Amino acid sequence: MFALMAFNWDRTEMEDRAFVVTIGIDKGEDAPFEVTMSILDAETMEGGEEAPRVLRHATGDCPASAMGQIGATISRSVYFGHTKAIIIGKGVLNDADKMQKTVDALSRNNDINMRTVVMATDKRAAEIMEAKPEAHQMLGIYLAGFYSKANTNAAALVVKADLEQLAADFRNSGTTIIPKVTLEGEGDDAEIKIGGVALLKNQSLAGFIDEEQMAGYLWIKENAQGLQLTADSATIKIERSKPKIRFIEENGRLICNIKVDVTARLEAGRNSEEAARNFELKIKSEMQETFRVFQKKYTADGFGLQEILRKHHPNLYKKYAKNWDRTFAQMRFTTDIELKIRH
Amino acid sequence: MFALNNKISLRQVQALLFLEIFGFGVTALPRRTAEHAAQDGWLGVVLAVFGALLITWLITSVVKLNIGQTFYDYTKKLFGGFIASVFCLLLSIRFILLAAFYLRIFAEITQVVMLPTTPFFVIFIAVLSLAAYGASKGIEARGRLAEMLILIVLLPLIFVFGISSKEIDFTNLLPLFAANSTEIGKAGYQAFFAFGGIEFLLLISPFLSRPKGFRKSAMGTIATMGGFMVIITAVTIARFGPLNVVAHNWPVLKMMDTVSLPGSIIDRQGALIMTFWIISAYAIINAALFFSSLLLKDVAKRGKHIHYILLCLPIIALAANIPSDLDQVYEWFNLYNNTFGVATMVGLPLIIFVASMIRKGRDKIAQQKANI
Repeated sequence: MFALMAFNWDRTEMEDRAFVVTIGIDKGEDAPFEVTMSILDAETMEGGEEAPRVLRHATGDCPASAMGQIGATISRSVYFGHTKAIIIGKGVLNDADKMQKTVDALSRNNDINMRTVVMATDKRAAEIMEAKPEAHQMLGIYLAGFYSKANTNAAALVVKADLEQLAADFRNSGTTIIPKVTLEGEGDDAEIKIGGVALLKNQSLAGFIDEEQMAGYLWIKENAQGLQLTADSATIKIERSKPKIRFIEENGRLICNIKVDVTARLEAGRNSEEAARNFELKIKSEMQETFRVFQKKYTADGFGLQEILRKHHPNLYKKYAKNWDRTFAQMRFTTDIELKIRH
Repeated sequence: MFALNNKISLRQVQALLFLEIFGFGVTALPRRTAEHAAQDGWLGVVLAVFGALLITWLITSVVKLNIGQTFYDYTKKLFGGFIASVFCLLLSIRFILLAAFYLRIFAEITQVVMLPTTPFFVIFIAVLSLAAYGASKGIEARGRLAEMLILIVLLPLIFVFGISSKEIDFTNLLPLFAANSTEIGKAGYQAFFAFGGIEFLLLISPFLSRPKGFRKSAMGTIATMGGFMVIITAVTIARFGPLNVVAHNWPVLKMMDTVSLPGSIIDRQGALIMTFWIISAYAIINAALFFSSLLLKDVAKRGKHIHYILLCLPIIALAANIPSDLDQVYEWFNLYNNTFGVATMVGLPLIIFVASMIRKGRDKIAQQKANI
């Protein structure tokens, strides 16, 4: 026993490890996949203005083999335990098979935390990873910080995707949304911009939706706590919002009603019945617009309405689930807002 | 407390029972039940708890009728020496194989979570040495240790599940009762094997310091453990959803690993998980070694139980090494549960109970005749 305890087969010193902070996955030119890893460079960590990271690229038949290739080219052992973000390039997003392989490879890697932030880009992931955000020199740490709970940034509130959610959505319906990261500006001045989402249907990209069109998503699916709204001359900050989704069948057609109870605090301006009505109308119009984009433009149920129907209305689910795309395309969407503004 | 009379208190029996059965039983439970009954998998666990309580009642009845006697002694009185030896051998094989399966699963998990390049034999030797040392020290040392270790197993679990309740979507358990009775029955059958090790109670009789209240204690422990299992299964299915829970080999461990702990107290909860695992593996293998060595000693009628512990060690290590991969482990484990498991968890207690009742009836009639 003492002899066994005296040595460790898996002994690894910190300086022998290559800490992967960000993983980028793109469609390769000569191979199906190209993986880029941003690795923390311990030697440049102390002082200096340069980002303490090195970028490594490799290609392979699947993301796992490309990741293995990178591991084979460096002297330290690659470690994914501190990976903060995964960025998926447009070439991979467009291909359902490639997306499936990507999600499969990442979720099978036991070192990668399933809570790692996943982002989509309309460019190549490698291109995004070359940028150095002003707020933090390591992109992965910047993205993880952006989505941390302490962050009340409105853009961050809209939608967050992690590896666990992505893998779950792929198993359930194949429809999901991934927040978008892109570059604004040219060359060395290019800055990271987070906003909007990539909508995936049948596990591949249906399209990118911008922030304005996504504004209603928060009211429909999430809690809009922390969001600031301005209408006319008044500004309110949302303290709590809770959507309640129910379905009604009318003349062989499903009606989806979403009732949102909102509690807000007045930040500027005057509280009046008219102001409250204006805010209600604004929220309703944001919700209607987001629903319209999902329904009419992409016919993709990115709200998980099918799953809600299965849970709460099993009889209606049995009737309508078989041809869900058609049901979703013909669904009527109604909203009720109950807003309470506190001084 | 330090009586050194080879007896343990009822509280120690409860701690041992909880430790030996709970840890390994619960880790794959949500997956195994959700495979058959989806979101209603927890109903299967409820069914299994009733089954386990029934078996506990049978076993405690047998123990009450044969207070202070070893398993070999009372089965010999009921069936004769040969059958008693066969029963002892059957039970010891069951325990040895149980230890081998759990040892292999433990080694597989350790490789995945913590020690990717450490060979199996090193993990086998470390766990078996520790378990054998504990088993060699006798029932009192085991009882005292169990009282301490139970907190180390339970606290991380309660902590993680308590914290995770914030991010759980309980609507994943809807619609309720969507599975039919056959599916729930199948889930219940699978969940019943989470109580593997319940047969240890058949052998506890000679070690009880206070047999009165044994049934109440044992039934209470199984009911409490069952309650924990139902809650953990329901919460885990609610956390991942019925479709996703079946994608994880050990969903309870996955849940412990992916929950967001507040305030960054611990970034990755691997340490908590390994604590839970190491103690669970130690407890079940230690119990299997201890009881199988006692059974073999009773059959052979010579030597000390420590000699039989040493005999069992290489057999367990070799048996644990045979399956080629984890899929084969679970395939064989299912086969083992459907055969050995059913025979020893249900068949054996039932046969002994019926024989004990017949014997009791005959003794009563003989007593009445003698009085007349």
